[in-house]
Amino acid sequence: MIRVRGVSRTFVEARTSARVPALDGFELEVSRGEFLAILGPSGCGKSTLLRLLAGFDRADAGLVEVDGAPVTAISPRRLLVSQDPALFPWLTAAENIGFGLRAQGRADPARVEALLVEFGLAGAGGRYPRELSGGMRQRVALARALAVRPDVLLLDEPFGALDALSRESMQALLEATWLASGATVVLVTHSVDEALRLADRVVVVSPRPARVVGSVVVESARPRRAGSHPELRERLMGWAVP
Amino acid sequence: MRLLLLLLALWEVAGRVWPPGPLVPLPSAIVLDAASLLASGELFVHVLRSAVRVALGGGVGAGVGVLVGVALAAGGPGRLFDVPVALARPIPSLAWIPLTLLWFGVGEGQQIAILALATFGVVVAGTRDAIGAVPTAWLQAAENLGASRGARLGVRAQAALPGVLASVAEGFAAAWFVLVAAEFVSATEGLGVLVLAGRDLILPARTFVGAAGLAASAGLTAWALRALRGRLTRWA
Ligand SMILES: Nc1ncnc2c1ncn2[C@@H]1O[C@H](COP(=O)(O)OP(=O)(O)OP(=O)(O)O)[C@@H](O)[C@H]1O
Ligand SMILES: [Mg+2]
Repeated sequence: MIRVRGVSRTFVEARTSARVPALDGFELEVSRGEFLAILGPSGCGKSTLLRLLAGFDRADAGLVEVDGAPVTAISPRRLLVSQDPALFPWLTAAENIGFGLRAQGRADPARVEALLVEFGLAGAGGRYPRELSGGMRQRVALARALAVRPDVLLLDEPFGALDALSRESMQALLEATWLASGATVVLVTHSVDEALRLADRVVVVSPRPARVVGSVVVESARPRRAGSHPELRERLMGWAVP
Repeated sequence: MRLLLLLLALWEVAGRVWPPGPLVPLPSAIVLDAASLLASGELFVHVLRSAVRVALGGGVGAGVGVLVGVALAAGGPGRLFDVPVALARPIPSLAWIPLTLLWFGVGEGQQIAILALATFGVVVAGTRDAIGAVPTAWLQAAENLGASRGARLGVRAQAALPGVLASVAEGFAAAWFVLVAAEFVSATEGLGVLVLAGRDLILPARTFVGAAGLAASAGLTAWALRALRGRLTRWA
């Protein structure tokens, strides 16, 4: 269970020293095992929120709690796949995917191999990140995160660089993995269709500082077809700021 | 290259038409001198002596430089070195001659010390900066995936490696750069000695032979270190 209460985070612009409030009194709850999608305009504070949840950054005020304990440090139980994949350039795709397992002393080449195949990266396991396309890098980053089976998966636009077809298959893969693992997922996306396709609940946030302006529960059975729920789509679009 | 040859040809022709006197050598004289040094095996000895000095001095300077650079980047008590290193950096190698003479006496040790100091100054700063510039995104990603403190140090080291190796290459270039100063006091063989022979023996052509040898040796060292770096950081 994730609980975010009255969280504020203000940045100071380096050149002008101007204060940039990314979050101001932000409120959010996510139940254990829930798949939550967050939609919101660019620059509103979505990545900031995920970084706070992952412990990469600290709130200036308010409470960030996971399973009843405040988030005070980075932990492999809450895994962030950041917007910029941050792959280790000196490791091959396969070594990147295996990094977490190896770091935790449970190296598992068979699992890495299986993940490579699942993520459409068979044959690319021996390549360095600079030899991969942007979409392939995103898939490696997601596979690297899933490899360690986190309790909470924080995904920051993980499919932004993918073509429509591999996006489709990655969504299906993410959904299947989530269903099998029971993890809690917070997915930041710019795609209303992706949100409606995957999430149990979709929240829309305002421009900076982010505030939840609306939320819909998606109840239909999985796997969902693309373009289902035109009425929910209408409601979500209604909250979007032009 | 072609331009260089053309320039040398012009120099030669001009020198034949208006002889400049014995103090300005013509390209042909330089080539002849180089050929005679080569034939007698002397040139090889000079190059070898200098190369050994640069290898030893540069090696010691780079090794200690990397260690101190790591200590500086680690913060804590390592920061104690920060001020002395910063103060010592702009001091030219020539200025170290008196001190190194006092500490090491006349001889090979003093020459190697000059080279080591030059290399050290470059490598210590380069290492510190390379480690400092490692993006936090990688360290956070590593911690997020469950990497221990030690494993994160490994991540930092890997990420800094290209920068550290680049500074080592720069350090060896600096060693070649100060070779003449290092061999100034007491060397009897070496490329710096050839350069100095121009004045000491009034053999101006020999200065050019020495300079060309220096340039070639420095270039070869740079090429070898670049190849090594490419091999160690294939991923970059
Ligand atoms: N380290 C920082 N220093 C200064 N300002 C920052 C910093 N990080 C974020 N900001 C600012 O905070 C605001 C929110 O940034 P954030 O990255 O959370 O937006 P976002 O919702 O993820 O946007 P996008 O959808 O484009 O990824 C932006 O205005 C951004 O400029
Ligand atoms: Mg973002």
